[in-house]
Amino acid sequence: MKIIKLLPLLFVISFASCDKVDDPFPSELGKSIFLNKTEYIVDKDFNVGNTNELNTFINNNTWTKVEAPDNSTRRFITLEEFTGHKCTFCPDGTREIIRLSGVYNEQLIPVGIHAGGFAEPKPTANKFYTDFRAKGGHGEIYMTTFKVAGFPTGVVSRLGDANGKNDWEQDIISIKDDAPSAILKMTNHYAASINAVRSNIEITWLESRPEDFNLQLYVTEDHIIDWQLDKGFENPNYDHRHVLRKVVNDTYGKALIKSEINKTEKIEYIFTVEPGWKAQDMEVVAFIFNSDQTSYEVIQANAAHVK
Amino acid sequence: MKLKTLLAICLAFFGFSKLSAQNFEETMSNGQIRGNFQFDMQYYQEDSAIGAQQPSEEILSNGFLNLIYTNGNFSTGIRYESYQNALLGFPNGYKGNGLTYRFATFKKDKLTVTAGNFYEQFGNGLAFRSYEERGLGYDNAMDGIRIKYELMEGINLTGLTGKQRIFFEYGEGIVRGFDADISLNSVFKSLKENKTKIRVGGSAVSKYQADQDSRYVLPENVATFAGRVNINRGKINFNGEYAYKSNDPSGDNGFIYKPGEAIFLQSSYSQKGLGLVLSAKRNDNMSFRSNRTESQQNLLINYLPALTKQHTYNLLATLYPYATQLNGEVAFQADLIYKFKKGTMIGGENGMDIQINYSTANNIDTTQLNDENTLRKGYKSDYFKIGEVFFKDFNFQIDKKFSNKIKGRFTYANLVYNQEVIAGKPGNPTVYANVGIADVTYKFTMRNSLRTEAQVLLTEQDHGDWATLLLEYSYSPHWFVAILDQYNYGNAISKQRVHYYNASVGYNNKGNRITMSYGRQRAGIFCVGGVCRVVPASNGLYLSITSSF
Repeated sequence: MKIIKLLPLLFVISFASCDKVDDPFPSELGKSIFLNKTEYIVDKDFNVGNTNELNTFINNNTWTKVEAPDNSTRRFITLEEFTGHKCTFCPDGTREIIRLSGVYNEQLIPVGIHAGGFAEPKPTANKFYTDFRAKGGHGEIYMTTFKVAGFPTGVVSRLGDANGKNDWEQDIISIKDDAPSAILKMTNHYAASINAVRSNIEITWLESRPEDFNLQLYVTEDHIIDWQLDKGFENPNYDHRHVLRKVVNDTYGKALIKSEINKTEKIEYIFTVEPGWKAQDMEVVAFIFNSDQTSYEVIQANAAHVK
Repeated sequence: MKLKTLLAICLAFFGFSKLSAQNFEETMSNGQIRGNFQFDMQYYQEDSAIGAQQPSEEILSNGFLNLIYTNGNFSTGIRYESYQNALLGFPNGYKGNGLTYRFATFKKDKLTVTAGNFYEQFGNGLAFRSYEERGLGYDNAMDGIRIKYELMEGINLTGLTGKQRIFFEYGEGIVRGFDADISLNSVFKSLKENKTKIRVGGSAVSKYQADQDSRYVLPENVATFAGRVNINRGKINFNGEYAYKSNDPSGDNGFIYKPGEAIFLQSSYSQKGLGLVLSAKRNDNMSFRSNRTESQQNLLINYLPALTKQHTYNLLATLYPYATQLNGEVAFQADLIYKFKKGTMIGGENGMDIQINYSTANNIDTTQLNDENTLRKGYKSDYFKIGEVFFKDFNFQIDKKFSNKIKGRFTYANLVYNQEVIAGKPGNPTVYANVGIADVTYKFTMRNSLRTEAQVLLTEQDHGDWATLLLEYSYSPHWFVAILDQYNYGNAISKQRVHYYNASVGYNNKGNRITMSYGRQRAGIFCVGGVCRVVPASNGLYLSITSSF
């Protein structure tokens, strides 16, 4: 009978030969190029593979420049809201975000993640045909990660699981006065002729921490006028706010070097944006979060318009 | 001499190294060689009336020779195949000559090892089936290593690894598999005398194929797991198997990442003069190939049995046969066989057999997710709902011996055939057909008999009505001669109301059979077990030689 106990082991070995793919789309990012103490990570579409090509690429295009607010003394806070255009109560969540933004201003960085059944488009219908979901299935993965049980829900600086709109402000209050662990400085450069954004991130650690941290970059678009179910009313001119359009550096971002007080890490992402997205309403959202999957807490964030 | 030397090396390799010259001769004398041969050749003529074309070669042929040497616990064999070039309707990949199958196998105690090519099946095949169906040009033989081990009485383990044959090459994917088959009655003493016999089994099969796709992140290792049970008690038998396949984006499913699953259930009851079989099957996204971009019947790792009757009469078998839908289907079948005894009112003087069969296959219920730019799961499916009708077949067959000279078989079938899905003809309507067949044999003497087959297929769709008449005279045990005409008399286009005439003659003698025929062959679909190939229309002279020893 001892031998029979070995049978499950053989099955386990077989199980090992099975790859589960959560994100079907390959990363659009190319390999890193190091120049002037900055790590440049360039979208593969630009065919930039070395420092010479990088210099040529930067110098041959005209860039506008926008700087993010200073967060050297404050901990900025993210609010990732899970929503969908066919979710009738989701506009209530957005209205709460607008109220909170009026209170906490640039310290609060909202992101509207369209995911799940309420976000499924109807491509052949004459309404609700727009697909607001970010390419790559990231939203659905975040739904699982943050245990989204209903809509609208949101997660404030990834403090645990997603919860309802009535809990958001309490979570914000619990961390808004925390001293920041790092400064996240961001400068965006935009070249309209090639739909390219250079998002320059400079992280300076204000303390040394034992945990490992990742950097995440999103692109959001504000004020998209389109269909939304709002308390039973099908509104064709609803103002969709802070819609997550692109997850720039994959679902869980890029690992940062170990935090050490006064140490600085410079990273610049160069990526494309869709021609149909409105540059004046696009923002790049960056945040540093604990990479331990039992935490994912966001410890610092920032956002700046593309243009 | 060369063969002897080769065998000596083989025997030495497999542990017979202590054989003396005398013993070697003795051992060799215990050896046995058997084999079989087949050669099919056709001369093609152009025939515009039926759309038959003449290939550039004018004459095409398929041939093979199997040779198997067995000596005690050791056996080895080869198969030589020749396609000069392959007969029309066979996959174009069959072109040329070569040794396509070679193996050596030995058994030592409870261990059996095979190196080279082999065929194998786990359970009902939902996870793995490697087999050959020569008439279809189907051969997914493995090339690699297979190890079988009887762990103890009632527990048999099989492990294998290798690549699958595709024509004269091998697929780029690597297939690995493990199966355990356990007889609970043998393993547990308390069940040894139990009248209920239970076998359980489990298998895990995985394939590896490198991801070289720039569009998607593809899983390089894809696995299928299956569990099965067979319970038998007296006249009742139950067989069930469930299989689950991990995400396997492929050309078949449009590169979606939804896992696949399949379930097969079959129960039967049999006693003298009565047999009843009830079967059900559901498969969802269960195409499993060792190359994710292959199509048709190429490099399939698993097998999804078709729950439809395998008809043999020409109009029924090749006009509207069912082909298993790998992407999803729900199928049911009931099969009843009953024998009316001699001397009863219905059975009459010689008794009568009746066979009633009903089968149905539908699409699975699906709701599209519109997630092609996100998770690419494709669709969701309600397990207990069914979708559009693919196929229905109600048929019965009566076998009756009227006297010592006359016997007959009478068949009726009512078919529903979704051409759009099964035959891949978008826009074509579903075919509703009634088929009647009378097959009567008159025996003049012990050696002389005449068999007459009259068939009619009535439908308002597709090519309309068909009729077939066959006369086959046999002079047993060696000779037969037959003439056949199929007439598409109900075709809506008068020019296509064509006669497909054919005459054939055959000679049998012990293991040899030679057949020659001349005439037209209607375009159709040839299926075995739900696996099909399209046969184009042809006209010409056909020669077939088969032999076994």
